[in-house]
Amino acid sequence: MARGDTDADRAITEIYTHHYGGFVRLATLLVRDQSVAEEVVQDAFVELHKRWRKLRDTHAAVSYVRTSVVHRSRSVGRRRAVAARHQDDRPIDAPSAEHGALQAVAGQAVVAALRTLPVRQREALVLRYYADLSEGDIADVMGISRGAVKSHTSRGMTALRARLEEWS
Amino acid sequence: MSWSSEDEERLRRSLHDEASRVVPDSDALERIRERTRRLPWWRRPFAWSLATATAVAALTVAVGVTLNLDGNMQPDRAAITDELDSTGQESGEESGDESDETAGDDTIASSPPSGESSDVPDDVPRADASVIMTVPAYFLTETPAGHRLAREFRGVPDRDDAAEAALAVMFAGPVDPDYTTPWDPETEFSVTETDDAIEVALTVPEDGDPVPEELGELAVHQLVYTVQAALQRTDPVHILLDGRPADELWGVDVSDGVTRAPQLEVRQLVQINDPTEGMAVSSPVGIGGEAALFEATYQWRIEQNGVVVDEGFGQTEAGQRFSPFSFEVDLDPGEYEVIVTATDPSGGEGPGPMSDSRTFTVTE
Repeated sequence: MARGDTDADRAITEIYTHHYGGFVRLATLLVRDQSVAEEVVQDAFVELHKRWRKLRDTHAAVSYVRTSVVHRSRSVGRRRAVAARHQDDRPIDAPSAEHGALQAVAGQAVVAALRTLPVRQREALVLRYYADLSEGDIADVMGISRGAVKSHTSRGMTALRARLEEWS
Repeated sequence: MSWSSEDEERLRRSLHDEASRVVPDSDALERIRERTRRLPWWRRPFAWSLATATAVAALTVAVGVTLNLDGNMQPDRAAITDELDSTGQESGEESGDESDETAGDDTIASSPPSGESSDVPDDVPRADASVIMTVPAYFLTETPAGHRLAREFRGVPDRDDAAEAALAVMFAGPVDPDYTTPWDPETEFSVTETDDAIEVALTVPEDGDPVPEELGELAVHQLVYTVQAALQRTDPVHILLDGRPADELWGVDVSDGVTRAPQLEVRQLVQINDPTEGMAVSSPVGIGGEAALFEATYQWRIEQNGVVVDEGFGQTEAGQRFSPFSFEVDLDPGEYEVIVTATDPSGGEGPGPMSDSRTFTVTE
């Protein structure tokens, strides 16, 4: 039986309540610019609304939005690649004397380094270490094999190692 | 492995630190809702432009629900136009091999019953039975060229599934006494959409009346047109009988799915949308619809008890394809019938022109 918009509206509201913030944070890690991330996530919700009829359950819908956010971030990233590269080259702001700030700056340095990685390495790391997804789920979201997830994760970590070790 | 679990923990913390600085836009749900609210126009709870308070009251009685109208409802012409445009393009591709049809011609259910619809305020629950939506349903009508499809727009209590709502109206039968349906009203149905097709599952009652063979093909197109118009999709319709893909229905081969027949071949060429049958309206009365006319000209007349009280003629924007028409008439209170007739290009030698009629009441 066909299902439609009343259900879809309710599903959107529910998923929004529990996951919108998380998806915006996820997208921000992937695309850097929060306003772009918000657009990406809102687009994914609008798309979900259209597809709700086929998805029908909240769990599948959350996965759908996550996948959609990752893929949309990737295509936004491609368009912004040049600008982003230039931004990532700039030096990190000088650390303040405060310890917390130092930690934060070190963290930012890691994130900045992360953003210079090839897109699939970045996605694999963010999905694993921020979104806490299993290897199988990451493979589904990225649309690649588990072996490929392993190799992207491994290469990404190796590339970040120098930055991570600066963070004492 | 060239990194340690400590490295992993650092990465995890740095990502979470970075993420924790992101404060998501608190108005985002509203933005999303604004965008998802753009439903196909007939699925939106609506205000009819011609429907004065009186007409709405009459309609309320007719469909047994109360229409929730208030000052917040704003017409949304732009959205309607956008959607009709996009439909025109889609169906244009679909009918690309029909040189006598243009994209605009093949627009699905191309005119709203009254030209305007609107969104309801947020706080009106969509499933509320006091909200109605309009669904298109096709029926059969006799014309000089034999039986053709004719359409009614009907207000029904709002529900999730436009296609099933439209089919419910189709099987239940027309309001207009000039229209008929050959389908058994007890037919059970459900509709499922797939990426590239629409599936309609039917269970025809065993002891019911079958569709007469000569109407079989049109009956199938009646179903196809109704479902496609309700879903605003022109994808082929696959029919299941008793849960299994059907090879044949009413003598028609449906094994490969049924594609949309060209409108000029199956539809009545004059279709009145406003007023709807039996509607109460106030004067001046707006009459409108769509017609595919030779040289784009039509005649109209208003009758009261069989006596012509007013008449005239008009032109649609384009000839020989479906194109909108509308005119206004000043009338005293009372019951009337409007008849719109295509001008006869054959000068009386052909099968005769097609026409459509509606009965309505002027209340003030």
